[in-house]
Amino acid sequence: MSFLDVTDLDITYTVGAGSLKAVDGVSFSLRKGESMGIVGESGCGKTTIAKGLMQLLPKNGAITRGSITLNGRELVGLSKEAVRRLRLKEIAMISQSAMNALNPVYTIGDQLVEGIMAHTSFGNRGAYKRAVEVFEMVGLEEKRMRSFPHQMSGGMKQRAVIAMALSLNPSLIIADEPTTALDVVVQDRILHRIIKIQKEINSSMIFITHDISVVSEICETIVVMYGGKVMEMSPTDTFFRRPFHPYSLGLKNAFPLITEITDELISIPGTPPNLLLELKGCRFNERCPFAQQKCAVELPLFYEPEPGHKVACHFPERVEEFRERSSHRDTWEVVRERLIREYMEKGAVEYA
Amino acid sequence: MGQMITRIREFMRSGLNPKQGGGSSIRRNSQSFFAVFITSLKSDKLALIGVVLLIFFIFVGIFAEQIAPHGPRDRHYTEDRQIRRLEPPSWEHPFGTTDVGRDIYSQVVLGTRTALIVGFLAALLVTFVGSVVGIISGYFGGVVDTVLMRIVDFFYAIPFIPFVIVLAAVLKPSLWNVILAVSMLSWRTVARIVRSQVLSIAKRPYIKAAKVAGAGHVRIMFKYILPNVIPLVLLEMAFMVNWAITAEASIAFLGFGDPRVTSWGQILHINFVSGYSRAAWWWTIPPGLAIVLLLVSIFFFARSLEAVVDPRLRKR
Repeated sequence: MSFLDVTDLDITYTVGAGSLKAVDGVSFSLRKGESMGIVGESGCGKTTIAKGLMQLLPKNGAITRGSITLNGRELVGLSKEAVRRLRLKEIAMISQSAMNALNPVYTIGDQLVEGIMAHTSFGNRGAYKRAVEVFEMVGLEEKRMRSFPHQMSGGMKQRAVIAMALSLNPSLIIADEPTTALDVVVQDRILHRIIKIQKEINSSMIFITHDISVVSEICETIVVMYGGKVMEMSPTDTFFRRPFHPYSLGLKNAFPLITEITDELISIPGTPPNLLLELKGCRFNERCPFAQQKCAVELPLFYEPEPGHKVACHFPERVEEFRERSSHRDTWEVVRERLIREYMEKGAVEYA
Repeated sequence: MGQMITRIREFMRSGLNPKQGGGSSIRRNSQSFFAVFITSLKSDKLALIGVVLLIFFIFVGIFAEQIAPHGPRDRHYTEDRQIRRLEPPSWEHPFGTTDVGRDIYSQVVLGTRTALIVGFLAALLVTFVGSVVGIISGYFGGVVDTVLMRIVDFFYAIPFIPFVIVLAAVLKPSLWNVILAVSMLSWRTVARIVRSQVLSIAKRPYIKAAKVAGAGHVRIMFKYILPNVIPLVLLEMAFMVNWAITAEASIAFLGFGDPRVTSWGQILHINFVSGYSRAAWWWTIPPGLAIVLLLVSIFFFARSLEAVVDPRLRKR
């Protein structure tokens, strides 16, 4: 058993038009001190997983199946108060544009101290000392404790929030696009800070992003999600050398290598599936250039080409052919034309 | 509560102290409430006049008994035991005398205190009730909001003067009842304005974060939301002072005020009833002018406060 085990997790949102499975049968596990990156396009369920782990789902969302165990303790079905105690101390989350979560009328220091005091038995002085420590960890000077949020830049505010998240040495850090709102230089600096601290306090980390390059740099494991399902899961270096899933191949095309200068990047045509509809087959079949009849009706099971590397595709044996073909623009152009044709036909039927 | 006030004070002060903000580079956009107010006083001469006048009135109000040379009801006689009836201004009686020989100057000076007491007490009460109702309404929303806002609608429908006449008939006319009447009919405005602001603040991420962290409703409302609406509440309070003073003057002028307490409205009331309001200009003008000057000074003061709350009104 690992430190964090997520098994067959389903998270369902109830919306006006019915219910929607934003996360569908996701399983993964995380060792102590391991960092894992979850990548995927918008709406594929990355943030929903993070919120599910923190039990912060909105009112219309619920974990409908599966289990989450942290250190052998089941988190699904825990009472509100029990979860509240876990947060910040055991699990801390750095959310996207978390800097907006600072109250403009209190100093940063006050807000940090308040958070620390709410979760520990520290007195005012002890909490302040701890706050200064984490402030230094994220590279902020002590005098910034007395600043108000509006006196600091976006990067500083984000770092202050990161300091807040790390203030109690959480054993699991969930970083949900922690640097998306910042420019690349600041982003890089903050990322390295987070990683350094994570190593220092030996906590596990789940890093959620749509930026594959970030994951390649900082994570040991990568999970590729699409339409609420895991498509491929692998150690990061294996993934970048030998991706299996056609979606991963497509994603790889969309990120340029500095050594291979091409005139234009190849993108994956189409849009993610509508999760409100009942989907039987592989979630990616519509946009997959190698899709067969089988792909639309049958859900692919995980195939393990090597230990720790899982791929949800019906044709793992044809991977060499896929890899070769996916690097050509024409392969994907065929999909684009097919999608446009299908779209037009559908439109024609609707008009008739 | 005491801790919160110190926090607010810190917040207001932070813009003035460059050391606290950490270097002069961030001083410019860290202009806080008080700093902006001082700056706008420097550029806005009318606001400066307003503040000076207001300080003058408050000074007169506090030391009214020492400044006023006579009691408000003392009758003054000439050396040959004749009542000094309707005497125009002189050294002895700077604003002249009334038809029964009372010193108008002393009455106006003593009336200042009444106007300020009614103005500030009523405004305090109004802002307190109004902001509590507004914050609760905006924070909880839903049924609570609907019910409270319908109550506010109900109070909006009550006309002021008839309400005061009925209240004076039911209760005894006294200064406290005037304050009560003014307060009962003006908290509604504050409640609505504060609610609209709280509606937006209650949905901000830091309030959600506080909820998730397990903070109770009362803590969220008064520790996290209230400091965010304090500038608005202060501004609204300044306007309410004005409104309360006008209301008290009108009530007293109509004769529903406290007969034992001298006020500007009461001076005008007696002046009007005595039938000399046209003949004795020195009797009509001083209380009238005092009302106008006090209202104008508070208005200019409030206007410069408004510039602090709403950056769009600031002069560049």
